[in-house]
Amino acid sequence: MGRVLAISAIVHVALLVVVPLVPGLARDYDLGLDVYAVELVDIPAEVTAPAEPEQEAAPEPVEPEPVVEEEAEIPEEPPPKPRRVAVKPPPARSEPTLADRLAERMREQDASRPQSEREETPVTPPAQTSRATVAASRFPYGWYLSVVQGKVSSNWDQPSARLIGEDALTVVVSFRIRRNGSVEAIAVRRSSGRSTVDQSAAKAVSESAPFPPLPDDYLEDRLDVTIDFTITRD
Amino acid sequence: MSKTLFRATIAIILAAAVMAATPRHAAAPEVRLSIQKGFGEKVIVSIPLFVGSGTGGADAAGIRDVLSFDLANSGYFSITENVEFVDETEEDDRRSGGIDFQEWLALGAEILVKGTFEAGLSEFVLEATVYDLAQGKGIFARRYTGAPADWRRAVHRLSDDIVNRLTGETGIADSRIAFVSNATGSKEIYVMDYDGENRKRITRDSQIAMYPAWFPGNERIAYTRYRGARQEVYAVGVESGGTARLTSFPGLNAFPDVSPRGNEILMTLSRDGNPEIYRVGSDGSSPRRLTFGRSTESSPCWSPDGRRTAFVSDRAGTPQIYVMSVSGGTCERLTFKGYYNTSPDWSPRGDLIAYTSKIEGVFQICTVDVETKEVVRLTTGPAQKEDPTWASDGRHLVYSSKTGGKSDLYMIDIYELDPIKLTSGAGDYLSPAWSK
Repeated sequence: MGRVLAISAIVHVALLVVVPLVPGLARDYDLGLDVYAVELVDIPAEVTAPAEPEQEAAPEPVEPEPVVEEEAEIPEEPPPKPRRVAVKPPPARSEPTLADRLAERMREQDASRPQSEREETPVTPPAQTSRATVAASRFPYGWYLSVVQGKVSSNWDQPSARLIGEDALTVVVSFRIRRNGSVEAIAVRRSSGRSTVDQSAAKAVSESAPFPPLPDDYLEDRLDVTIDFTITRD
Repeated sequence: MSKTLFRATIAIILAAAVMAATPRHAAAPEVRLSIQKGFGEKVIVSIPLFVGSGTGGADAAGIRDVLSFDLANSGYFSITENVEFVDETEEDDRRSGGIDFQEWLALGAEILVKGTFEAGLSEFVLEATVYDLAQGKGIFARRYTGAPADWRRAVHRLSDDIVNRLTGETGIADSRIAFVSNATGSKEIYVMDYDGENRKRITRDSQIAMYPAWFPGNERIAYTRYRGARQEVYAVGVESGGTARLTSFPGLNAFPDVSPRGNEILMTLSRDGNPEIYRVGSDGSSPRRLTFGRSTESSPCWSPDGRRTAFVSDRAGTPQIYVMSVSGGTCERLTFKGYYNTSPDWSPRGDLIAYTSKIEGVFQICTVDVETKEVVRLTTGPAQKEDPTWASDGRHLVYSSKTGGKSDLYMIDIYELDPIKLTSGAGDYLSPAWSK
């Protein structure tokens, strides 16, 4: 009896370990994307202006030789040596992405520092944060998503919510980015109920193409992107 | 019995392991983003001082300044500002001989640009590697060599390569701007880098040179030369300074704009009486009249596909922007707001036309959407702003702005609307034309 119980226990434990690993089984419980909200930090771009040109001394014409450009090898980086201060291990592929880390850091900042001390923090405080919902577990290239988000939002000619007479409208648009950065299959997945809003969002995507080529070490030949476009009455 | 069950357990584990190792049926990875306000994300870049030394004007701080300006100005990047921490992290890296990606991430950066340079007496060499910090991996590395005086250009090239690889867009840092200045007493054509540096005089006519327009390839510039009361259209080689006369018809020969293919020029001629739009060969041959009427037609520009032109006409009583086919035919009026709209320039992206509009007595820069005719005003303030010209990215414009009796050139990003002054010093800076 005791032995049967022990065997039964082994089988059950084995099943508990195994079931979540089986893709076919896990799919049934996959309710869509792993979506979690993160704050992406937008540090203000205080640009260093170019030096004032020299006073009007007529510049001597210099025959510029063309600058020659070649591909270079990415230098092999030795792993970082232990530092004076203990540091966290370098990020593994499956670890949280930059976006997560930033979110975490900002939560720490928020928790540990009163607003008035923000300016003295060693890390530049974000002047403006915008909310992005990122499901990045299978695409851990934060910079790439920043570029996609940045390009599409600057190309979005946003209709005024006030003119439309609604408090808030959301349209969900999906599209596919191919390896070379080109875009296809732009589709309104969930309409806002207003065709002008739907069209403006789809147009923002098509005008943002091409996107950058997908990262070299990302092995798929495409990336599916879904964007929630929301307009609100301020 | 127990052995059988144990084997069954092992079999289940093995089967599951095999299933787990089998790729999920090929669904593409999917990401979800959200956009609420007009403000987009920017990619945050850290630029430590490049390692190197030498003579000839290039130093590590100068290289960093140029690259930081270029990347921030592109509109896609913001540069980590806390230079002290950037320098400290870089020093730690140099001591350890590696890259501590965690420390760079902790500065808030997503991308790291590291580089070396050698500023020799006969050659400037720049080598840079761009890293994805979250991945702890290089994205690309590139090497640039050129004359010592061209060090800024090498940095501009690096910036354009970063913009291109990381955004899919064409960078504008290695572009130039032609303009007119009277700094020497007479109005001459000059060119400068897009950031206002490396100003170089091109014409030495000691007459009046106006309205420069680049040929594709950016080796020649067409312009209007005033000789006494006459106006003629000339072309000048940017490097050689050699000039050639293109048109010398009776009356007005002005406002040349070279076609995207470089084989034709649109311009304003008054040889048949009043000013009309003409299309001529790039050597000034076989003029073909496109507009007919008693009104004045002027300032034509090409659409980027080379099929249409936008120009100014006062046929409705006030100067307004019109569009027509370069084969002639009917015109479509684009601007209806205001009573003085001039100097159109068609965006290389094709969707917008930038122009000058008199608003409450002050010339301001606006854009009009070619399809919807929606007008967006880009500038404010009392200075008189004129002659907008597009960069090849369809995002930046340069225009002249006159205040206190002096004109200077400004650059503006149409999404961020924060103008940057490009010129200073004695004289006026007018009539800009961005290279193609």
